[in-house]
Amino acid sequence: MADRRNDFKPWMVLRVHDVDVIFGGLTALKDVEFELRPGIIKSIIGPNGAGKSTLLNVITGMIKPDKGTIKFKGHFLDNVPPYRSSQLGISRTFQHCEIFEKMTVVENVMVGRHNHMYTDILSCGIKLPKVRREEQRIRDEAFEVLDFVGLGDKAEDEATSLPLGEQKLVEIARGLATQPDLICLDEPAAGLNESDTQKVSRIIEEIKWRGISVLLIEHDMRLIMDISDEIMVLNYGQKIAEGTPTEIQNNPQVIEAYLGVEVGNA
Amino acid sequence: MDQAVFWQMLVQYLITGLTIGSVYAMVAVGFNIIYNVTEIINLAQGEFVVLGGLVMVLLQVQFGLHPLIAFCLTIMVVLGIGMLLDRLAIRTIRQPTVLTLIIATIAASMIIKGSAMYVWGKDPYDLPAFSGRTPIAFLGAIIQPQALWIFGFLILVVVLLTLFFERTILGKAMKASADNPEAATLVGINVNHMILLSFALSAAIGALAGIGLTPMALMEYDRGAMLGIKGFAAVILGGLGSFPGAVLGGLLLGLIESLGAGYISSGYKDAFALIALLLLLFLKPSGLLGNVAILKLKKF
Amino acid sequence: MLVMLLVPWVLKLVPGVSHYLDILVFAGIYTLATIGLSMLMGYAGQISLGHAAFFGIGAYVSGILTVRYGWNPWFCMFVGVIVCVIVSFLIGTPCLKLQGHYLAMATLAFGIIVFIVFSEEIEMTGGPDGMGGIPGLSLFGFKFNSVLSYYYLVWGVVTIAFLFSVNVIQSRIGRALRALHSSETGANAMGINVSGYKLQIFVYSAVLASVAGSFYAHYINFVSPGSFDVHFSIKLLIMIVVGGMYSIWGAVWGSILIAFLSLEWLEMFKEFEVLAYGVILLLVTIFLPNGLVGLPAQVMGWVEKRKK
Repeated sequence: MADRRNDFKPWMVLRVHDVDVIFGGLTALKDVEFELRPGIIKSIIGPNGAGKSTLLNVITGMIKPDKGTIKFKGHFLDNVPPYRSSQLGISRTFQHCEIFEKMTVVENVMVGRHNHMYTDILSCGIKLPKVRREEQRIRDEAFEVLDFVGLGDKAEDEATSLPLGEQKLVEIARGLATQPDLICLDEPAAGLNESDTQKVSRIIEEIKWRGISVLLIEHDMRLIMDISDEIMVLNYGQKIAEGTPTEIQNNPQVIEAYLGVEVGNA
Repeated sequence: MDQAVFWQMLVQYLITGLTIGSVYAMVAVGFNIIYNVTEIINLAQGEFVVLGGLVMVLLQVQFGLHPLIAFCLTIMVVLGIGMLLDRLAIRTIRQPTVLTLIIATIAASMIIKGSAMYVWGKDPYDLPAFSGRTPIAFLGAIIQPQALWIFGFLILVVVLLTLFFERTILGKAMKASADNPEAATLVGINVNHMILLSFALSAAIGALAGIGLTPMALMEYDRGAMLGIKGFAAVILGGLGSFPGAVLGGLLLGLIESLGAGYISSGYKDAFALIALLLLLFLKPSGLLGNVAILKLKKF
Repeated sequence: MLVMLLVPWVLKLVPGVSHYLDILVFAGIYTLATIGLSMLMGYAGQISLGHAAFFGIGAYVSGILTVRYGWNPWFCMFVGVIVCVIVSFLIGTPCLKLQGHYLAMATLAFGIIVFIVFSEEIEMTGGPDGMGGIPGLSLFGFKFNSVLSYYYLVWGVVTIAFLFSVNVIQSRIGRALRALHSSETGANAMGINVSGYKLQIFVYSAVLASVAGSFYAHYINFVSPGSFDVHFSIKLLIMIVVGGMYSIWGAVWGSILIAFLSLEWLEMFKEFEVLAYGVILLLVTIFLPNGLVGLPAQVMGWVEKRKK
């Protein structure tokens, strides 16, 4: 097979090439390959255990692939620690909401601005005026993002006191605060009711219109079909289909993979 | 140096190394059992060894019981203390984090040590050797018969534990709890009981090591810390969580210490094992038989 | 909170129990050593079982360089700090990328190795009998030669360190630390180099311990290995746990309490010190997980529950 690793077309944001992930004896991902054009919402769907979260973990550097490469905006990501991938412009949310306890909503979002602050430990310790100025700037920026997701009025509440739907929004806000080029959302609508899901849906579209690419994992088919530009289907760790929502809906292999699984809210 | 003398000394150091290495191996095995089931490093592990020796002294020398009876009673007593440790120090913590639990084991080791000092004082104690003290000649060097007992204990521990974990239901249940406590609970295994059992086993093994060691090297109330940390060094050397690694690591560590003390400096004897530990952490933290993937599953 | 820091000054006006002042100097030295360690435990969630080594290195470097070579004590303190920075960096870098057990055991091992070196290198350190004749400190000609002057000096430095630490905690770095303490995964996803920050805090704690050790050497003019053994490392740990891990005030209160306990109230129980501390540590761990600092909140919570 020709080495296509460097077939990186400059207009691609993300290119995942031939990726394998093996845990012990279990193959979680096999020969996974796809590209992400800038400014679109690409959804990854598949039955439980298909490897969707694993794929996300590989892209963000939490797991090292056993084979294959990941290229993001010209950087190879396969050997990069997770904090570095964030610094390079990939942000993410988690299936089991990982917001920070014992911190307020706005503080959570301010953490997202961490790498856009430049004061070192010494200046922080001495509390130079520039530290105070920077804190204020970050606070303002955090409020901007909170307003974007509609949580501006809950900014000073303790993050864990919010209902689940809003906690997930805080996580999204936090992810957006890092000013990413790509944001990966891991089941943002899981466990949410109808109206909260609609809210999330609108916000994700709004994110796209702001020029940030979105990689979305979800089980809610209506949400997926509603807002996705492209869909990729995984089953048993392998890509079985890729295309527009209409193409996917009519794909016999996809339908077969989902036989027995309820299409809709999982 | 004379060729023959050189080899004699070398063999002697090797024998000493393997002997003390067996003790470290037993401590290491005990560490791993608790670690595998709970993810806690039991910093009181060394105290079990000390108790094994001292309680045996109390029963056999002070009370004059028959050695075999004293032996069984000692194992049971120390085993009981191990279970107490779990019940009083570990189970009682309401919001357990691995950090807090390690601190609890530190507290427990201090309590045991302090109590031991109260009961036995600061003097070292001796036990009659199990089969006398006539040295056996071997390749120009001397083996104390007690050393053979210590090897024997190690082999006994290895064999019994392997049988236990592979052949008995209880052993398999423990392995299951170690692998995946949530799944184990779902299958009906009482994980708390498994934890209790792991402490009991570790204590018993530690006691065994102490009973074997005392006739050769005496025992005093404060040896626990040093034995504990060397046992831990053995664990890391062999790979955290690995049973064969613990045995291998223990023996290897004993050799390192013995050779270091013999050829380099005896004043720094204790330091060799520790320096080995630090070097290992820099170069290959997963140890000889360990698994790098385990290191990445950080919950502490 | 910052205002309360002026209280130590007021205390000196009470002449009644004059030797309490001496104890408070030790308390100040201990506080200096534990502030950083408290941040390491409370925020980075790591445990160092060998901090006595950094303390001891500071003490011995100060002692040896001033006694044998007559160097300026402040410069020697600086040298001690440099040594500790290098060592803590070397130990921390591999360990802080791994599970916390590794740092715990590495520091324990390191602590014991340093203790053995102190005891064995008799020519340099005076061995187990220790080394005396360490000069007191002086600044711009003013000689610190009374308990009172040391009191002000030590607590002055403690105040500076305390304020510096508070500023760090309230800054973005403190936020990053709180974030990584709550969820390392989340923090990593935010671009925070978790291992890097843990390392910074570890080195910081080593620096403070080193400075504290230097002050210790100059205050009592004598050092011996016995003061820097595992038992002392554990004592530092106890100060933090008893005072409260999750707030640096815990380091202050814990140090003061343990200083009084060990130097005054438990004097008669010298034999059972180990047992007593073990019991205290265990009881606090079980019943008072947030230490003394968390006591008011805990009592309030208890009262609230009883009301229902």
